[in-house]
Amino acid sequence: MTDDPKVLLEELSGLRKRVRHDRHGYWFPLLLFGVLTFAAMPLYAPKELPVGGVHVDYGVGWRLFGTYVDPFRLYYPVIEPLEHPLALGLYWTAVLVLGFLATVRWYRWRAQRTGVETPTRTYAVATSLALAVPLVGVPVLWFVSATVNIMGWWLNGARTAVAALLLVAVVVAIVAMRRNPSRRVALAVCVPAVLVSTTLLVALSMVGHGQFLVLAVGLLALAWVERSTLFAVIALVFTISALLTTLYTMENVFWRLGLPQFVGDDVLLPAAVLLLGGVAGLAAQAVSREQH
Amino acid sequence: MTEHPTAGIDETVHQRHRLGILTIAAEAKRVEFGYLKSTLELTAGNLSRHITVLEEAGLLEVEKGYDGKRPKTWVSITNKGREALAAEMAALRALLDRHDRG
Repeated sequence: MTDDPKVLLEELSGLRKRVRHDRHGYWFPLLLFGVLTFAAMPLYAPKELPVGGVHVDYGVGWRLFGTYVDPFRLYYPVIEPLEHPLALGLYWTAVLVLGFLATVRWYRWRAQRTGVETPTRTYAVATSLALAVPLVGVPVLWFVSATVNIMGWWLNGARTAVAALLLVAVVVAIVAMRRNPSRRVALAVCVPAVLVSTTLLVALSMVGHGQFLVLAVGLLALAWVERSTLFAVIALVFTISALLTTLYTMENVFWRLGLPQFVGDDVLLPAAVLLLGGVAGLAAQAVSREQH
Repeated sequence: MTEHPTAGIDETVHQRHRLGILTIAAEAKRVEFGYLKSTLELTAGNLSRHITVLEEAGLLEVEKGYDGKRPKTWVSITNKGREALAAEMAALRALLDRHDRG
């Protein structure tokens, strides 16, 4: 063994880098979600509106106590009703759930091939929490919102629903902390972070394209466990593109740039970031394999 | 008077190949025996002996299984192993600092 601590530390640092490069597999979920996002573009075809300003429901929901409730509201663009809202809702629900399962399966399969396994627990927990928003949170929020409105409370229904969800989360966190005191510190950090991010996600879900925020939460968690600078940058750029798509009407960007508008142009930016990120990840892995 | 950095060195861990095994295991959920063997360029017998020492010290956990019909041995680091590795790295850095200052 070398007696020089400097040489030893350098050797260990080299080993650490090599293991990280060997276990990186983030190009797969990026390419998968990129292709699936591009494939969703035809589903954004707008509905032909009748002449004369007749009221048109935007989604596939139903009237509950006089208020429109739609479980797929998270996925729609804000400004116009769609020709196939049910297909779009089912498509994104399937993409989020099956894409998440495929990603976890991919890392397990890759571990058998390379001999080094990426820990996916953090990704699984973060994505499950984020997935709970469209699958459970949004329908519950709309239901509570409709119920509260019909009861004529002075509070805005949506705000009351978010407050109710937060209250439930706080109670669950307190019960969990009492049952397992050794996890108090971790919970004290994690629970507020989850509460704040979930609240933001629920709030943002009201303006559409929320599936990209769910994907962003998952990719940021994956970038953390992958310990890759390149992937962290890609995940960050995707998060910015997801926020832009969610909070801004991308049609305006195309119009200002003088570009032609087309069906699904709203999702072009996040789809392109995912695909280009996947290609960059694949290239980085090929370069790393040559070096080692 | 401050304690000499070598006082923080654990004899079980302070060995080049064992440090290598712990460093690799700390970077993954679990690592396969064959990966450790090729990465550290060790013979199967030599690697096996080091893993046994680390397992007996409670620094590693060993899990034997199959990939189809092929037997596979997976190694994962324990919390105690992570702490021992962190202490060893801190001791090595302290030694280096002392050497640079002296």
